Amino acid sequence: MNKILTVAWHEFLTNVRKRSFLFALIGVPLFSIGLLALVILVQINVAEGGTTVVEEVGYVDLSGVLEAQIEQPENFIVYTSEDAASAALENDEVDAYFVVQRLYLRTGQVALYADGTVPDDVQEAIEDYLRANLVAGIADETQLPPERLRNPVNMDVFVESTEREISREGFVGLLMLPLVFSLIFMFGLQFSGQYLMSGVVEEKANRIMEVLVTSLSPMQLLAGKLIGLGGLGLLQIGVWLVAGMAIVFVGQSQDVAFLSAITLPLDLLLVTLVLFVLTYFLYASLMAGVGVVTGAEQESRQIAGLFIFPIVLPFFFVAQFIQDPNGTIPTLLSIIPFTAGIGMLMRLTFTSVPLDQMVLAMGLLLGTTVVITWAAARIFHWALLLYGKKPGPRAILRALTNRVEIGSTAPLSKES
Amino acid sequence: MGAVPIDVSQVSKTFGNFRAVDDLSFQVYAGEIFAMLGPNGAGKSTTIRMILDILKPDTGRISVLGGTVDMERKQRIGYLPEERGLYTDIAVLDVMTYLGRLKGMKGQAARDRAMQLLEQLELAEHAKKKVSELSKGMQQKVQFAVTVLHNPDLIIIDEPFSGLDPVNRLVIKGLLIEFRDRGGAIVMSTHQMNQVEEMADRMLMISHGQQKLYGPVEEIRERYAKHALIVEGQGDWSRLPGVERVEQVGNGRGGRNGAMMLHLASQATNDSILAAIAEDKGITIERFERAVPSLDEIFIQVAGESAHISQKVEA
Repeated sequence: MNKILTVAWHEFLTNVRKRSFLFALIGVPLFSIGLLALVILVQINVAEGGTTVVEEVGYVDLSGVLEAQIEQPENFIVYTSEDAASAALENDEVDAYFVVQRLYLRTGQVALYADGTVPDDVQEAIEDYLRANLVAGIADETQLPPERLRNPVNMDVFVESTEREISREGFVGLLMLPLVFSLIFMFGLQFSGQYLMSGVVEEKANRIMEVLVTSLSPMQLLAGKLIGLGGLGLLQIGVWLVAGMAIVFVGQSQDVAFLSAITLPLDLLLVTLVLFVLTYFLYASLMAGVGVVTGAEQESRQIAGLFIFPIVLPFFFVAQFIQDPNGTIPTLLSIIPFTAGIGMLMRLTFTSVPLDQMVLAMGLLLGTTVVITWAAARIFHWALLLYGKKPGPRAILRALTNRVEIGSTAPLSKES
Repeated sequence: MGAVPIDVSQVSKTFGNFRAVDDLSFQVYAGEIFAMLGPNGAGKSTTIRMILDILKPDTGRISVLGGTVDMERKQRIGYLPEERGLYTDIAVLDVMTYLGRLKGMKGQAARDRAMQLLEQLELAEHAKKKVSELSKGMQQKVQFAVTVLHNPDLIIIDEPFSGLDPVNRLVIKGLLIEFRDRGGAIVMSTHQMNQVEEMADRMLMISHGQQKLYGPVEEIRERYAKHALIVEGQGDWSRLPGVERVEQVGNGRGGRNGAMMLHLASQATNDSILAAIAEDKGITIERFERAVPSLDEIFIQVAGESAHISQKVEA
């Protein structure tokens, strides 16, 4: 156990100091924060620069609908003719004016004049003013509260049985959550896996492996690497999550629209953690096996690309996950071990997964992870000292069933 | 230490149809440098890997440091493979400490000992540098230091001097001899016969996985010694009584005749020839020694014989 921890600590320390790791660890959140800052800046600029600051609004009512002047905002000034309003704009008495056209009741037409773009809230105020005056008459007749007529639907959306409440604005945030989680998950996985693989390739290429195997067993070596780089992956997703929360927090305090409704549910975090650890062992074991068999960085990367594909497969079915999270495809993707990591994460954000399915998925993932790690350890042991000729699938199969010499593709001799 | 560091008994190993090691037996004792010789593909690496328990023998028995190789015994072995490297992106001292800890040392102890070795090898000022910043010769010295870092009882080194300049060769040689004199056992697998002649106490030569020569180096050279003398000087060697044939073996330099090999008749002895030279006024003597072949010559002879035999078998 001591040696496993020695290897784990060594792997963690060595890779945590790597420039590429630090770049990814700090660079990705910094990049996101920079992007957010840019969005906020643009918003402020739009508010202050591009759009006109509108304080006084003039209007001309040719239709008569605003005769009663119900709920007229304080900064609205009525003019009797378009010419008067236009002159007022020219003299800077008002910053904008609107004309309610003669046939407004039939056409709804209103013309808005200003020197620049009019901010949304001014347009909304105009609409509210018109609406208040339109419904005033009806409300009297029907005895309905004018508020209901103006705003008939005040909808809260409940995702079935998760108790997770989504307001309309929150839906974008809800969609982003699994995507962001899955991206963090995938990057964490890929970074650790790549480090593990290139470490193995290096040790094999410079033959330090031969010295290592006289100091500890291949199983200890693999276990130490898996633990050390798993820790590295956890550190990475931890830092990213904290940075993500900081971004959401800052964004919400600055009223960035698409961040407004994002919450980070604790249960989702916990499930993510468990899924990450299990999927990490699955993926990293495969990567270790690939690294030791090919012994070449570039080739390993190509094969590793194939392995990441099933893990990100659920992304391609995001529409199904939204429309029917308990449908066949989302259910399958959340249970099949290779896709379960991200599949389950995506499903959980849209629905509550029945306990038996959750147990089945976790159980299958755990079982597969154990089997794959075991197989990888066996391949690892066999291919550690294998140089030169690359083994074919048949030799790998023989290695799995222990019918081949360590460090050779020759079958085990039968005579002993 | 007690037990024989290495005891290999009737060991064979086959890969598919290829017999890499064939009924091999030998022992390595404490306090000796043991040379393992043989042409490429003779089975040296396979034998070393079996000693290190990386490979299992098909038949036979291997005992290392008093028993079957387990992790506890592996801790007491230092191994340096022929093609060797280190983590290039890590500081020298950190690499050494890490590998020392994997051999069961405590962190601080490994660090102290690493520093001590670096000082001995005049590399102390490079301790904080990355391995990749060192010259090739320095890297080799670090690799050697890693091999002896944990004070093993047995070290196994493949080609200990390959790629080393004469000065560093001398440093490593000194360390190996010091290790032996403190009672450690050294197995060195090499092609450099002059190193074996200079340093090894005993040797094993294998070819096609089989033992060809085994025993103390001097004894083996004696065994291959011809009934002949090497002489240098002036005069007619052939008229000496007991000399059957004179053969030029060295090139003459500065007007001299160079070294001659005197093949002796069976009844002649070294003493009788020396006495005859002393009596013969026409001969002046500058060098007089027994014709003991170099290991190179023995190696070529034995390797050639086995190649010859195997060709016959294949035919």
